Amino acid sequence: MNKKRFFTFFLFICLLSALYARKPKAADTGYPKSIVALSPSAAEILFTIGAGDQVSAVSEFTDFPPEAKAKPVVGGFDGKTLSLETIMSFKPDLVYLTERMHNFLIATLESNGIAYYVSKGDSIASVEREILEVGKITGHDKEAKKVVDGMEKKLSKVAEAKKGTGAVKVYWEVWNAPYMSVGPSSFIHDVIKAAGGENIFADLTDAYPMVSEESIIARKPALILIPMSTGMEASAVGLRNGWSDIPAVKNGKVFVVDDNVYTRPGPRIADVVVELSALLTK
Amino acid sequence: MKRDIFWKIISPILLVISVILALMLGAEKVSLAAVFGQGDKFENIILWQLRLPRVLLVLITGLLLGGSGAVFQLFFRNPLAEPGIMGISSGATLGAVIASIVPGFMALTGKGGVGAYISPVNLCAFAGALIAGLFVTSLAFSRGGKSSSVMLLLCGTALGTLYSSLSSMLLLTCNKELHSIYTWILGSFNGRGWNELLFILLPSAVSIILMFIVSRPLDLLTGGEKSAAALGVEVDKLRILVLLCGALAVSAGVCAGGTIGFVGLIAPHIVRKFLGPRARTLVPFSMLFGATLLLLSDTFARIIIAPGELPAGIITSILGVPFFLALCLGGRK
Repeated sequence: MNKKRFFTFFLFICLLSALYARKPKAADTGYPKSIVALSPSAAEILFTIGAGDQVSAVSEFTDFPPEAKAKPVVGGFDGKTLSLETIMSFKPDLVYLTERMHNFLIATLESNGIAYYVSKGDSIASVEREILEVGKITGHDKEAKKVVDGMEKKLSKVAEAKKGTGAVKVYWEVWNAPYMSVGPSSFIHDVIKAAGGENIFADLTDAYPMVSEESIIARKPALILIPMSTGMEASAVGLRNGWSDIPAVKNGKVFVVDDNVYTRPGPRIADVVVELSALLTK
Repeated sequence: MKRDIFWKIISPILLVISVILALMLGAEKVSLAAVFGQGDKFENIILWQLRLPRVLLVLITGLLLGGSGAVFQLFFRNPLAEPGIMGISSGATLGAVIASIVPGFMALTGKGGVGAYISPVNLCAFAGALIAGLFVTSLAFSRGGKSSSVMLLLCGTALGTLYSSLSSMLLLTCNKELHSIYTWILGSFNGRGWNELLFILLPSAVSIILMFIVSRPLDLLTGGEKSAAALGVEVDKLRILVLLCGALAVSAGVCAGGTIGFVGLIAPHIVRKFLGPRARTLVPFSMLFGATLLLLSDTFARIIIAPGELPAGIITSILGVPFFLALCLGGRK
């Protein structure tokens, strides 16, 4: 009998804590004081809206701003090399996750009554929404609003400038062995669009599809972007068999760009759009 | 006997048909005029600069994988043997992973660097396969005695596991973008062309010549290494030739299409069903069949979700396994 009662009590506690954890805010005294940010973009958002003091740990590859880089690291941002123990050792009252990559942590966080926020980061609009939401959760709504307003100003300036001009065909090369590019569900697709470009593989469903070399050439991109992290050189693109007649290669419009900034769904993305639109019109 | 002749005639015909199909079909339409160099500029580029070299590469890789699979199964008298089991493919993957992580390798893509012509990833995969293959071959020197072939299989498998673990460790600790290298591991001929073809020509030729050289003594080996030795076969020498042939075949294949292992396993079994176990027929016809299977797989991989592409390695098993199972189960009746 006693056992049964204990068990019921235990179930009740579990239920309570699960309900409790579902709320995005954990603190009863106010705003979270120990945030663990599990992606570089999460850390960047927190620091930009002035919540840097509330951050107790960040993930690997966090490099901006410099203050964020100085924080202790809980492990790889990929999820496979994350240590749950290390996360817990910071006694977090908010864990800032990334959709899909960190979903496996949710069950544990819920059962321990730790609040969490899941970042989507699949478009510029969702980044702006995220900044506002995180601002509210951390008690920095005003700063968050200011950051988003600043981004909007830059974005609408670009949108204004490109009015009336046709979209420039852009090929973003994720990798060359095999050739991989980006589809419409990727973040960078949205960035290219905002800057006045047209992703030549907008018709594919996968976010990072392997693409046919024949199609790259047949679609005649006017601009080719190579992510810096691949280590590839822009000059090598023209040396590939059959590539020399692509308009982008002919007109010297092959650029290596810092994908650390270009593909990061954070506040600096508006600056990226401005920079990219300049590359497109140059 | 009559059936034998039928299959001996039909296999090369099938291969020719699949070559033609592979040249005709692709993500982009190419008019017949382009075949005579009369198409528009981009049609000509697609057919002559991209599709033709790729088809030739697939053809050669299929020949190498099918042939080396047959040679390995015959030599080790083990139906599961193929060069991949000796850790050579895993060695290739380790090479590719190292190239994608160490910044110095990708910097070779600059003007004047060798990487501008062949992707450093493919180059390092070639080197990795060759080193792994030569290392296993050197093990064959160090251990004599009757159990050495079994020991080789065990050591090869163990080494393969070691290479795979090292690859996974490097990927998990050093790389943010796992997606691209995983796509490489699945095996694809995407983005390979004339440069790769020229590069693998010599190792491929040597490997194919070795296949024909060893197929004669391999026939004498069916009764075991001891009885073969009694018939005048130098088993130790043969073992080294077999390993060398496999190492070269897989290295060339890996440079062309990544790690595609399944063809080498399955092609000899299918040929054995139709043409019997004699090495002198099994080896060349496994080559033909391997090439046919790989060409059809690569063509499917290119057109199913065009302009996207699938890794050919996946298609090979989707096409090959049902056929293979039907053959195995049908034979039991």
